[in-house]
Amino acid sequence: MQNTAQHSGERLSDQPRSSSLLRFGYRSELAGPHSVPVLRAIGHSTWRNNQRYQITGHLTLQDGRFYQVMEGVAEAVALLSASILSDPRHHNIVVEGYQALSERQYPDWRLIGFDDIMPMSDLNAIDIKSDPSSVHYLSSIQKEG
Amino acid sequence: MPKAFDIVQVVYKTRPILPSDDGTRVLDGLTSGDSDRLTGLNVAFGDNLVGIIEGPEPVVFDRMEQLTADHRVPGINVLREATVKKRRFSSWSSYAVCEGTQREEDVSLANLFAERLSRALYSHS
Repeated sequence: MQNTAQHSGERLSDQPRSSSLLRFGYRSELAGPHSVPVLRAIGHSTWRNNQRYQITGHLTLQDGRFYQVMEGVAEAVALLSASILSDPRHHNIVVEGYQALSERQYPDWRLIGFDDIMPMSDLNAIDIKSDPSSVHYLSSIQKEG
Repeated sequence: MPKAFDIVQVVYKTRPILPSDDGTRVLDGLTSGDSDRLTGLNVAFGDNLVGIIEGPEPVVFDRMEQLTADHRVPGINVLREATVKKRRFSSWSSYAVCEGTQREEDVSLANLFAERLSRALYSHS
C-alpha cells in the first residue's frame, strides 16, 4: 500500500514546491494476505511518508477493505495517489475523488494504525508515537461506519 | 459465445484541452456508455487530462480513437499500453481537479502524476 515515492526515477522533494492543497480519497480491497507483518509494513510506510510529506487524513482497514483520505500539498498528493493507484496490493479500486482545499480539513490528524487490526502494542513496536487526537479520530470513524 | 479479448491497459496524457462551444467537457463524453466494459479514471489537472483506461482491446482502442478524433483535444501522449491479467479498477471513475490547483502548476502536476503512474505500473507488471 504505497504512500511511497520509491518506485520511479522522479522523486518527490522533501519540500514540495506546490502551494495548492488537494484531497484524495479512495476505497480498495487488499489483494494480498492480511497478515500482521503485511499490515505493519503498510502502516509503517504510510506513517513515514505522511510525516515526511506532511500528509494528513486517515486510513482505515476493515475486512480487507481500505478507505483512505489524504490531504496535503498538490504535488505530494498527486505523486502519492499515483503510487497507490499502481500498487498491486490494491485491487477493485474506486476513486472517490480529488478535491481542492483552501485549508486542511484534518490538520491535526495523522495515521497511527488500524483500529482493532493493529493494536497499540504493535504500533509501539514499530516506533509510532501515540497521538491522542488520532486515536480519537480513528475511533470516531468507526462509530460513524 | 462472444469472443474473449485481452484486457488492455492504457495510460495517456493530453495537452491542454480546448473549451467547447456548447459548454460540454471532454470528460463528459468519455464517461458515458460502455462503463461495464471500460474501467479506469480520468484526472484533470486544470485542462491537462491524465487517463488510465482498461478493458477489452477493441473497446479501449475505440475509446482512444474517440479521444484522438475529438477536436477539443490537441494532442495525446500514450505513456503505457500493456496487456494485463486483470483490471485494477472495478468501475469507471471520472474526477477533475480543475479547481484544485493553480493554473501555473497544472502542467507540472499532470506530468508528475502521469509519469509516476505509468512507471509504477510498468515496474509492477
